[in-house]
Amino acid sequence: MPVYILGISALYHDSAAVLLRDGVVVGAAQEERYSRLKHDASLPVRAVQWLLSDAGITASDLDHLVFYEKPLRKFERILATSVATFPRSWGAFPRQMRSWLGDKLWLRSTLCATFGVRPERVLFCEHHLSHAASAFYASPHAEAAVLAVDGVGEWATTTLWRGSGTTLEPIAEVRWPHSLGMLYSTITAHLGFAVNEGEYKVMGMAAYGQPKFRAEVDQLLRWDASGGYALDLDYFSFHWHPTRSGTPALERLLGPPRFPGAPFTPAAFPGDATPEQVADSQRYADVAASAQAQMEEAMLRLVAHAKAAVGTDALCLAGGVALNSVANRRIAKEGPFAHLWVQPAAGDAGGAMGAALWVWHAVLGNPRGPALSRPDLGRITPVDRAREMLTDLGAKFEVVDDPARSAAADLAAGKVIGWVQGGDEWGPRALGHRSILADPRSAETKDHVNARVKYRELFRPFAPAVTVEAADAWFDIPEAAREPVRWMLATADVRPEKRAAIPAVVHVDGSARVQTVDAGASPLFHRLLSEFGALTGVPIVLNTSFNLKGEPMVSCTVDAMASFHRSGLDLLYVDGFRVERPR
Amino acid sequence: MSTQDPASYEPTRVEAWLLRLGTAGALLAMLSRGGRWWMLPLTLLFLIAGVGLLFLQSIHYVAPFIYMVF
Repeated sequence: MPVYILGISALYHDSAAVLLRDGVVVGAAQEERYSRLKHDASLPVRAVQWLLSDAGITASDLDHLVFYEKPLRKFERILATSVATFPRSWGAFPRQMRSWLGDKLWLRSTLCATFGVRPERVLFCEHHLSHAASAFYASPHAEAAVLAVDGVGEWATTTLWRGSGTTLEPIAEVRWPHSLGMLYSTITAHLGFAVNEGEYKVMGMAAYGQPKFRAEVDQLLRWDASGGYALDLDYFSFHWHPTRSGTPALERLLGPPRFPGAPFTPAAFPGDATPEQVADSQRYADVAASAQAQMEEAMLRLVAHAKAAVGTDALCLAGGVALNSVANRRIAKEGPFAHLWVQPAAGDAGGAMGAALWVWHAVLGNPRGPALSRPDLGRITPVDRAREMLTDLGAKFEVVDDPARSAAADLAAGKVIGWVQGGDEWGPRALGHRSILADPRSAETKDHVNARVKYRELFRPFAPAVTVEAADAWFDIPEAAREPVRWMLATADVRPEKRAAIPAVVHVDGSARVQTVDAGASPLFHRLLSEFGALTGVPIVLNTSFNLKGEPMVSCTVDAMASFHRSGLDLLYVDGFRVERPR
Repeated sequence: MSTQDPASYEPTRVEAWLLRLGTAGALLAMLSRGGRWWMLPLTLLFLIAGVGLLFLQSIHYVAPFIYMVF
């Protein structure tokens, strides 16, 4: 009888579920793709339903259900923080108590009732251990230093582990409220973006600025000789205020915050903005550049400490901060490790995978299995079902024998296409299964896709996808970043002589968040790139997630059709069908 | 969800309450093990003070002073 383990992360943001059969990931799904609510935090009921039905089992077949953090320890932290920051915390306290005493505290009984699993089969894994496990056990490395950096779990905000075989030994930790993740999120909020959503926009904005506020942001963070750090809490209120993360002292230090949704018109593209508006935008970009530079150097410090303390050749990263692809590039290029591996769902969603793998290896004592190698671990729509849906929706479609060749021809002809093939990607990046694709050879493509297809901010860059065979000819990829670039988790410089050939995917600083595609993991997407290369001499396409602003990525054929109709896409390739826009 | 699977576990009302009691016990045990018994009276005090502040804030001539204090 196979052993089934269901890992769950939920109730903060990005809830997800992962199913293991005998230690092998058979499916991984984020609830937002099913509920259509971006960053959905509710218990992943729909995702679990899909995982169980796809595996052909029911809840009674589950040997263990494991939740990715320990709610009682988290509750203890919230109580202790409220007491320590009283009376300032009195505004947040009633809210938190309502939420915790209402449902979060009683999670064991909620999990049993919701998923139909007996209480003795329900386990809880510490938040940072889930992160560390998601990075180490899913990696190909038998020995590694493991670093988890995020906002906060129970108490820990940054943890270092020694991973060896099936064991994860804790080495060091930084505890709440001192948190690199919360520092970056506070800057994110100061720059007018939503916390847990806009951090990657700060990363994109940073390229338009210079780190002119470096001295100021350095006042926010102090390092000690042992490799730990502490925030200057005079500037932060995230630990006691219900909605604000920075204090007035932060505004005095960095200047007035940016209003959410305010136009961003830096010196690089001022448009019709007044000189004052340009100056303000440039200041925001400089603040973003300063915070980004600080984060990169903070990660380099932590990585240097990890090397000194653990001494392995490989480093595994997880936690929301590990999604900072610019920092990952610097870790790969300037850090002391020969190999870097980053969990593709490095944020809280990945905790579901880590918790499940922890049960299999650490609790049940089973040996390591194959590393995670494919991105398409989510829902697949069977071809017959896709045809049925398209027919029901009255779509004008045709069957294409070779979607890769047909799509490559359309892309070469300047079409912007939706590309839905196989299973959903695991993690926040579209890796050629739920993607919007376009020809990268024209500079106008970027503005067209931003403004007419995805309806998002013009300053945001697009990523290139390239065949792994051609990657080095076009991009300067650090050796240690070979694995992260497979998952679009590290940036690379576009070779200077090639930049003019692919202007739509080159960021303002000459970098790109490249994805290398190999035929083993994504055969159809690899062939599309090869076909496009044969037609144009450029084996690269612009690849961005198939979603509209404020929505999660599409999952099934119906989602794809809904987004297709509401966007400026020219064509949709979905599960072997080519769909045209209605005239 | 569990209703779709007749073999799956569905706690009775009594079982659900017992699970909650178990959770409360586990919380007390955790605070005890961690030497955090001191948090219980403080938390109670906190709750009472919070209710008091909410009450005082509702009195319009006292509210500005409460705002100034915090």
